[in-house]
Amino acid sequence: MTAPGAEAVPAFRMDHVSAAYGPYRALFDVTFSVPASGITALIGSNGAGKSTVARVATGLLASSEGSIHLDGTDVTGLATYKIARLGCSHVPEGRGVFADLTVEENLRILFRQRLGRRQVPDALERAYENFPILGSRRRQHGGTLSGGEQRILSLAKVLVAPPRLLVADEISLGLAPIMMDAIYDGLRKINDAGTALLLVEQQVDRVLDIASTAVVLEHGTVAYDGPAASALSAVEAVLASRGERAVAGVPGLGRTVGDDAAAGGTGAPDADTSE
Amino acid sequence: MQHFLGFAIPGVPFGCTYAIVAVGLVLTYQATGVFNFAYGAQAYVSAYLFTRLVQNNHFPVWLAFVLSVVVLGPVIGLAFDRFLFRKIATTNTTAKLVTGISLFVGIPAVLSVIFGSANQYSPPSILFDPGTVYLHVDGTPVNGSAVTAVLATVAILVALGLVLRFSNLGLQMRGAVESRRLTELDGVNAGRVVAVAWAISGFLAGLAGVLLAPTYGELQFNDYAALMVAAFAAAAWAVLRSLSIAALAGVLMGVATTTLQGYLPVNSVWSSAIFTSFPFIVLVAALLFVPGLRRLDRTKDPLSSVDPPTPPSVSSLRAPQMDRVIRILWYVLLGGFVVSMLTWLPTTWENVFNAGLVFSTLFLSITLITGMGGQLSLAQATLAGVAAFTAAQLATHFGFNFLVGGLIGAVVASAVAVILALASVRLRGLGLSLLTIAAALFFDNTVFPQALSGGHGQSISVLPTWVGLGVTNPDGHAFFVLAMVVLLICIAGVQLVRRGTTGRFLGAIRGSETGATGLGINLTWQHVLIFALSGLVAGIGGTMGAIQQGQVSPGLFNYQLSLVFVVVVVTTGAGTVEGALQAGFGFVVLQQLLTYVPARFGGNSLVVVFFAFGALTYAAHPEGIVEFQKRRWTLRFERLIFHTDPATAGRIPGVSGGPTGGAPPVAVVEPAVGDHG
Repeated sequence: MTAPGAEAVPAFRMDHVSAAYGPYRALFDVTFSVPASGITALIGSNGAGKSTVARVATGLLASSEGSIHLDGTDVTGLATYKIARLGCSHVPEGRGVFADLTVEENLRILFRQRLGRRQVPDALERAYENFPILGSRRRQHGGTLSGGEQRILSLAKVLVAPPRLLVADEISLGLAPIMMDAIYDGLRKINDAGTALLLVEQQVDRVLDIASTAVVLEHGTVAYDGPAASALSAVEAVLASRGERAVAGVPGLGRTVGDDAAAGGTGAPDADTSE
Repeated sequence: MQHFLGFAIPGVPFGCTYAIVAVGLVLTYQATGVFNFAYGAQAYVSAYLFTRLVQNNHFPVWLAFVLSVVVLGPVIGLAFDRFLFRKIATTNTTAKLVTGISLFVGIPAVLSVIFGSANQYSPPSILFDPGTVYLHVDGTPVNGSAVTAVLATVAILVALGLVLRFSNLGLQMRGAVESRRLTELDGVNAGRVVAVAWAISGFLAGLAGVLLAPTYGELQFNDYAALMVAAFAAAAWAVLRSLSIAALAGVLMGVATTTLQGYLPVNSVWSSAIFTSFPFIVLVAALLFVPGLRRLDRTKDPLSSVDPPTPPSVSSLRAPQMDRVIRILWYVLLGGFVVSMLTWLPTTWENVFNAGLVFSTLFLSITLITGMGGQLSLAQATLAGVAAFTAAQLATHFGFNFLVGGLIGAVVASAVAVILALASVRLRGLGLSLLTIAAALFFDNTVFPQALSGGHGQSISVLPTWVGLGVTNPDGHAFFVLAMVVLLICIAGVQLVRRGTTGRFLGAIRGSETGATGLGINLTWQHVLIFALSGLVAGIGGTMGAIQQGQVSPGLFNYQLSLVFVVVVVTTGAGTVEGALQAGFGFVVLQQLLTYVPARFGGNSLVVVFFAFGALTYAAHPEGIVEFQKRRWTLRFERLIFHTDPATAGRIPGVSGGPTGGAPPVAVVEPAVGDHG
């Protein structure tokens, strides 16, 4: 850990965590931490377990082994809402808004919970100020927003009421470049104000720019944990040593040829829990 | 105008109870995602206890009200939440429906086991005396129970509206129904929000129960079941979403019912049937014309991929050797059974097993529609009745052989099923169950007694000469041979369908509708086809049942039986033919065994209680608790006898798995992205 502030209590720490979806195990002995007020990038190929880490972090999925700490507090096995109340926000992958609630109601639920009744109108105003698009759609149902707008709605919540730790899962997925700039600006801003960030991304270039440390997951285990700057070269070195070829564009992080061989070819069912 | 108001005003108190129940249903659905079938049973429990406390224990009315409504109502709601629905919050609609239905069937049975089956008479009113006329509206007398119902409804709806509109709770409830996980990520204690909603809805159920009680002279569970259908209809028009529309629809339905009744000729068929038929018509209209109802089951939790995938059914994991052993055991059992029936079994037990054969045939229709079609039909007894009545009418009027008439009847039942299927083409899960139970009640109250039975609900005796084939004594050997042959033919048919193209198509549809459509499978056609087949088998079972009972009467085929059937089959396993056989025999054998239990322990109600509790395990074991245990023991034997372990043989993924000996992890799964804009 060479990141600044690593000597202080980390904002988030995972120690030897394993997790599973029913019989399907997804994480094996994962250990890493997010430095206080730091930005950690969590990268890896499709199916490496990135989202699972994010879900275990906020208690959506229970870990089967290991411990999880938030600002030095043990949150292992705690209910999701209790972790949220300790100041941990999670913007989930994909649709992360209430489709049946209006934009305003989506914002209101969190503001009311985190800031109290009095602060709600003020917070709503700030959200609409920062993201005028939300203001113009405040009466619209969350489900009718475009993917990018939904992402903005999710982010607006955390930008107005900044948590101590933000876990953002693929927050830039499918967004126009100009949107992405706005989102990354916002992330930087709340980080400056003291929020630690755990950014799960497949878009490595962007996230490694703003992250101080990076964790690379592969097949549910940590393949690299260190400074963000040297993450890419380290990954490439690992892949090269295994004789794998990176798939176009994102070096080492797309779905690599010979994935199965790397997994040992044990013939385990390639289960997919999604619909 | 004088006339109109005279008819309309008495409907208002009825409408008010409809409104309260409808509001309670919508509230539960909005806050918990559960369409609470057991709501009528909750109302009945409170009303029963209230009446009993006042009349038998001479409690003051206010104290009885506090105990049975203010305390018991919410307690029941909280218990449902804590012990049942919380555990199945993330499962599919069918599991929630089955749980609700087993409660609906089980709770009145439990009551009659505890307190005996005697009805309570002239229930008291909570505020004003039902016997006194307090005021006249436009010349129409309004008595105490009506005043109470209207005042209580208005007070409750206003209070509830205020709470939900101006408190944070309403918003959190609506959030929680879409995704508990998302609300929890916002720091909301979703479990508590849901519990509060259950408590409020429990209170409303209790209140509606005691309000409705004095409007009838006698406290009967049937009235509460009818109340439920009316409330279903009101809630359906509100798309299970808007409390105010639900309340308004409830009141309007009450008014419309009495008004229609007033204008219809006094002694006509419709006049007496309107109270039970009108809600059916309104409900069907809602299901057909309210587009929102078709999308009910489709809004899903964006974080649902956190749930583990459904495990493969254990039956597919059985070793081939074990399959062979089991098949041989089945044949041995079958042979032993046939020989025993024809030789040494006493008549009592022969009759019991004959009934078992009939029920097994009938239950095969549930295997078809629920096990294979993945749909929950609550009108199977009705379909059986259609066939039996048709056969009886053909025999009476045209001298048809009862078996030939039964076949024609089965085709008619199949046609009725097809009509239901066509009406429900776009409905799945909840909508379909509502449509079928409404149809069942409609047949119970209108078609069977008025049209098919040949006049005013009388039963038709099945004469031995109708059947022929020497089946003179319906419970003798000849009947046994007939029932056995019919059952075997039906089993063969079901197995053919299951193993053939239709079975595979249906399997594909159960797995993924989208995927099945992608393969070019016509969902509508398969939906109609399985209904038709199921109606046919139910009709055959109904005809056999009529022969076995020696009569055809509306009471043999009422909607409650349909519900009990579903609960029974689901307990023993809806997915397999074995499950239907276990259900058929288990049902009658248990009934017979319970005749040896002293009557004060509830007699037949105990059977229902037994299976209702079994069905409560549906969510944990959708293959049926009996089936589940059986499979477990099969696997255990397999290990013992053949020393094969399905887990290590790779037939159960990852159970004993994980990385072994430092090898790279084997099953790494990350659920893919859900849907995003």
